[in-house]
Amino acid sequence: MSYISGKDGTITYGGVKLAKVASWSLSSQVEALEVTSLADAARDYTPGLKSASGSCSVWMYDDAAKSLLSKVVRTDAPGEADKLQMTLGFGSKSVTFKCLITGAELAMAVGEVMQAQLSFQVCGDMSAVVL
Amino acid sequence: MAVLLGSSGQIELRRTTLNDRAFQGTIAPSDINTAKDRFSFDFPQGMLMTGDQVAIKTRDGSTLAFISPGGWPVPGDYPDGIWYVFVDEVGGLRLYQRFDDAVSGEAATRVQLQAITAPVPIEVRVVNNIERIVGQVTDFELNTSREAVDVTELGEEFRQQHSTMISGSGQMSCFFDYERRLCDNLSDITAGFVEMPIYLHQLLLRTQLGSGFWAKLTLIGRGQKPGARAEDYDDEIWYEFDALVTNVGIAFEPTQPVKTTIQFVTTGEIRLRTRTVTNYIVKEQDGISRLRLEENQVGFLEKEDQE
Repeated sequence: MSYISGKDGTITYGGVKLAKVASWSLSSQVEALEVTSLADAARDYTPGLKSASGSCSVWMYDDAAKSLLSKVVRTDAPGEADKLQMTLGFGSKSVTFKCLITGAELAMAVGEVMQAQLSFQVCGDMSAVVL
Repeated sequence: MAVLLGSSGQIELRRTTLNDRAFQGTIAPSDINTAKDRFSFDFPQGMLMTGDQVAIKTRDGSTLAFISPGGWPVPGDYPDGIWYVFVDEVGGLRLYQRFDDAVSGEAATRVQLQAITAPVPIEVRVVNNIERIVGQVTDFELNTSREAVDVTELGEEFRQQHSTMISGSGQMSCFFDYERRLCDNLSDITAGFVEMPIYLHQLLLRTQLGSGFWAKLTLIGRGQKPGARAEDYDDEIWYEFDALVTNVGIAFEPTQPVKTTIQFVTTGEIRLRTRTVTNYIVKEQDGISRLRLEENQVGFLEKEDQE
């Protein structure tokens, strides 16, 4: 039994651990479809579609962020091949899914180390979940 | 190895304006009093201070007609020149060739003015002055700091830091005084090479041109060092930087000397200089090199190499 903290976190992409990751987050939702009927005293719901999205920050250190940045910051159009198999790890647990990189933000400021802020949208169902 | 004492410390200051700020105005014929060699123009109160070395030039390329031909180092009429100023209590200006004459407002050595018939548009800039030792200093401190940004990444157990910006700040304390007196004999320094603490009070309040100055903080000065050899006599270690006066405090208390505390922040590069080789003064040899004393422009001995 132990707590999990940032030192236990990883992002694995294409089977390779991504370097210089500062943080990641994942947000998952299940839609609640209302099925409340007349004469019901309380609202009722049935599960709808699942969805998930997330973000991560990567320090700009050599080519650490290049592989993910190049999915968005590019000169040609993205295609089906740009869906990534990504695993967000935390200790011995992990969540694996296919996703599209949907946003990349680069910002430079005096006195700060440059980071790439990336956001992604999970495509389809999760491939594997170990919680 | 030696234990060094604070007595070797010293502060040198150069009057200047950071970012080369200038002020423009117009001198009208009625602004000039030729009997008292005094003139003025519409500059804000507190912008110029007695002892400042100012560069005055015309904005239209004409000559500075209100300066008498004898008021130039080389008699004539020129469009620009550099002088020391004495600022009286109502904002009148007198020009001088020497700093100590300007500080004392001497009547005999002021630059002679002459009447003009048309307005003269001018631009005034406080130029880099020579370094002067700040008098009456009792202590000073300089803190240099380097910001560190946390770049720890996931999976690491120890924090990683990346160094970023350097900054500096400090303060000095002095016994308050406003002029050097005839009987003063501080380190055999002549009057023209001492800056009084009141200048830093004035600098904080200087309008238009800001409160910038150039400083040299000597940590190890020339002289015999404890436990050192004779050839270490010339060793020097000092900081150099541009700074802004940010706070001046003065306290009055019965039975205590009046002390003033000046706080500053550095701007731009901070340089830590060391000199550990012996300085030799070039012997005067005709045709090869010579020592020259320039009173007006720089005021120090300058080595001039002949090609």
